[in-house]
Amino acid sequence: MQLPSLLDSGRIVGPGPVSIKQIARRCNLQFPLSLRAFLRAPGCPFSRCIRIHIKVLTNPTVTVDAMLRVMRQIYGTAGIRVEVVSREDLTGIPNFTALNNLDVGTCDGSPTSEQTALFQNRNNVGTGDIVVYFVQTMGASFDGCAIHPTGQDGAAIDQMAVGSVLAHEVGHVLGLRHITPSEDCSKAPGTSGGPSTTRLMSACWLGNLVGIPVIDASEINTMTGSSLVRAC
Amino acid sequence: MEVTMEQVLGHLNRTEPDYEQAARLGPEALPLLLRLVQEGDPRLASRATWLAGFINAGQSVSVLEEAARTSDSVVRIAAAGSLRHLSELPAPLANDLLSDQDSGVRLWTLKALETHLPGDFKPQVERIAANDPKEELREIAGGVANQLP
Repeated sequence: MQLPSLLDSGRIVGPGPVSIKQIARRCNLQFPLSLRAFLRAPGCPFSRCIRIHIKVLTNPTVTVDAMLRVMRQIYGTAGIRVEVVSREDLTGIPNFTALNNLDVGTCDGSPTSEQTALFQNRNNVGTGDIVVYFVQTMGASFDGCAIHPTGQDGAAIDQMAVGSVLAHEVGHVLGLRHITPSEDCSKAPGTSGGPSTTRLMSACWLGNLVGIPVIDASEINTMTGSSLVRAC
Repeated sequence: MEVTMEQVLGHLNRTEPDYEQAARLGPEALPLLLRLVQEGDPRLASRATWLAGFINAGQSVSVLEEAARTSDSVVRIAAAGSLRHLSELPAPLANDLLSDQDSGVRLWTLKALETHLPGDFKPQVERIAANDPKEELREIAGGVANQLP
């Protein structure tokens, strides 16, 4: 079986450069260290994983890797490793032109026919895996939408989405809801009753968030209880 | 009932706005949506345009027309995408958007035509099917042209 890249393995988690040796020591791996052993070590650095497939119809303004870095730092606080199992470049493919401008309806309840068609593109996707499709627009009306056909877990993300939208939408896929009490998104961020500047699952525009957003204990319980989060 | 800009922004400043709920603000919100389009922040302007389509009142068209005149293709895409939410297709606006320089705008307009199936668009759509620089758009237009009366 082909080994994942070091980056996509999700084993390197941190705000800055992190030494593989440091992580390997935490995982009680023996030295000299082989990359193969590191990439295959169970429970390293976390005992739980989600498996993500990235399918790019349009490259987002904030790069996929930048979004993944944010996501890994947040999900790392829940002890969840984010493994990218596959990446598929679907840019410029004529068959995807219509779906690249994706109609998500009201992004509530059932998927639209276009969402259903998009989610049928499942090359390399296994049971319990999550697929994220990066599209050009959703009518310029949503940053992301986590409505998906039953049994085809995933989300679509707009090319103009800010860096934490990937983590937010996959959070929905794992069962997270927007924070309560509900925020008044018309107020200044961080003011009393106004948009949160710290919480990943804020309902308000995520461009208000400062630094790496957080998830609380109850949200971590929900995530780790999802059937999509597996031992690894 | 008077609608305030605070109320409008409360709905639009979201990652996943609930447009159906926001549309309950009613036509009174449309002048404020028009102002947001004119102010030019692409994120808010495109969402204001989308909401105007959901409100689906006479003055909604003015908001979409303003959005269609902007230089930002994202806002024009919102105008084209909103056409399908209107109960009556504004033909001159749809015609303009159908010849937009941005292929995404043309695509959303074709999708709107597929919803409305207006009687007087077949020649324009057939022209796109024959001449559009994007092959995939020519194909989609061909499919829409076949459905048009």
